[in-house]
Amino acid sequence: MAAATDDAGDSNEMIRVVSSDGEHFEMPEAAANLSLVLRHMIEDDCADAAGIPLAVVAAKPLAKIVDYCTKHAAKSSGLTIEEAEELKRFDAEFIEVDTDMLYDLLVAADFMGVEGLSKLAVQRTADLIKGKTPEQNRETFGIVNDFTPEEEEEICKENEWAFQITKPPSRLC
Amino acid sequence: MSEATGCHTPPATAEIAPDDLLAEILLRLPPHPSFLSRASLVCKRWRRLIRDPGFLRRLRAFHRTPPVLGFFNNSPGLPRFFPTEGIPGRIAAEASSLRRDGDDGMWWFVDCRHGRALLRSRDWAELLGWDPMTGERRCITVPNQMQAGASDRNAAVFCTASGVDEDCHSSPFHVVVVFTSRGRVFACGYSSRIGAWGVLMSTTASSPCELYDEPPALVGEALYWLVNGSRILEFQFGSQVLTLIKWPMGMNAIRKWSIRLVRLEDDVLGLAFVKDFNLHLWAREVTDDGASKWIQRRAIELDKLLPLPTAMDGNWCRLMPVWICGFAEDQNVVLTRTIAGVFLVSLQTLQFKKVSCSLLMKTVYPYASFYVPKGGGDADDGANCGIERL
Repeated sequence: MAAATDDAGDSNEMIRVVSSDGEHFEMPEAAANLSLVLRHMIEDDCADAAGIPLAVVAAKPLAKIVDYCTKHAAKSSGLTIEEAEELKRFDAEFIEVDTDMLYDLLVAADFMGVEGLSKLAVQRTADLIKGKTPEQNRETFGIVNDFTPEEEEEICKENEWAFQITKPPSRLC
Repeated sequence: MSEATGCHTPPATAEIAPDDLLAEILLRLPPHPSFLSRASLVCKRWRRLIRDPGFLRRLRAFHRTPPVLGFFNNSPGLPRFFPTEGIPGRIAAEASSLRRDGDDGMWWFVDCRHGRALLRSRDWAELLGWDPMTGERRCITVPNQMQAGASDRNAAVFCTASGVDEDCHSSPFHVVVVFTSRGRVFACGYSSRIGAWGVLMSTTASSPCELYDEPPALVGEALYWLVNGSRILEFQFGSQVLTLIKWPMGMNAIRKWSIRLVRLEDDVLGLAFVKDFNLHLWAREVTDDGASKWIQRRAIELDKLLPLPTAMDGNWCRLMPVWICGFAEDQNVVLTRTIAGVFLVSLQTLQFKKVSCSLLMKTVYPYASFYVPKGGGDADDGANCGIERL
């Protein structure tokens, strides 16, 4: 009958992580558990005072990921509608980053197995792509157009087959 | 602690497959094919990922239901495509170029389902199975016995590809033709896989039968057409059973153009009809003893939902009845003709969109599809139908 206020297995222990460029960060164990990789290492008893080395995550994205996990772990279950809304707002502001950071977060969240952040970064990237022409997408994401002019012409024709650009059907009326 | 065995440094970036990540991103583009179509123009890598059959399978699984891209209509002079989003693309041009040799040169839409359209010649001597996304066309000759002496006809197209694992565009399709003749109702199925018609089934009608023009509902393994005299023709194509069943009493007064057989979300046969500007949905539910009864499920006040013009002295919209002109069963979307034009209404969210100003669309054929790369279909040459491949 005791009130189960804390999530089972939660502890107040702080987990240390080290970025690829040698910066140290700390976060509550519940936050670290949101990363599949960190959780496995904690379970394997590999979290020590020296910190878990994350060889491919630089300090800048890691700082963001620690923020994300700390915020989400603090509000993990039994959310009120207001809290859920607040978390949504946090996510929306959190992911308003430039494309370099977005790319770092995409790769780092995927690598660390932070599912919520991974989905957030993936959706944000898709949202950036969807409103752009192929040329704008190349510029945004630093992609080189590797089609030959002949291929491009052929593909444009094929593209025309189905649909061109989405606009409201105002021309119909 | 760090000396403990089994501790390791997490794997390096080289082990992350960026293709997987990019595929995850591309999956989350809106389901309208134009988004993937445009993304495939960015570079070879994006194009390769988007055209990959595994990716396309995941796309279908992720979005589940293909979006309604528009609808076809038998406009006087030529069949037309009206996109619900976007400017008319090649599908519109292709639809208006569907010409055949002989009589009036017209193909008439009869049904559209699972990414396939079915058209007929005026005399029903020939049918055309057309995949608007791949451009594949197959001409089907209708056996003489289905032409001579038949008074009313209707037909259905569908494919039996199972969900996300198979793509209807690359799968065989089936056609069922139903017709009435001398007090009997007939049905016969055609399979594109074997390119042949099956056995002709028939049943006796107690009173003269008149098949309505509207396309049928597909529920489970059965097709349902409206028949005059408050009757429904049921053809179970799996077990090849053809029967006439009754629709609810008291609906005889509903105008023919305001009533449709539909498949409801829980995969039961439904009747959608408009009465007093309310869209009613009834379901045919099977009771414990195996009998079936019709139960009212919903009523939607269309005159309150849709932006219909009103006059000082009352509702203008009441001057013109609302027609149900189309229904997309997988998307649960109804197309209604009102005094203000044609609206597409989602029965799930009640969101609506005006898709045409026309007041004359009696029957339209909604078309839904995911992205399909060009070159995905095996096209027939269609030579014996007088069709030119573009």
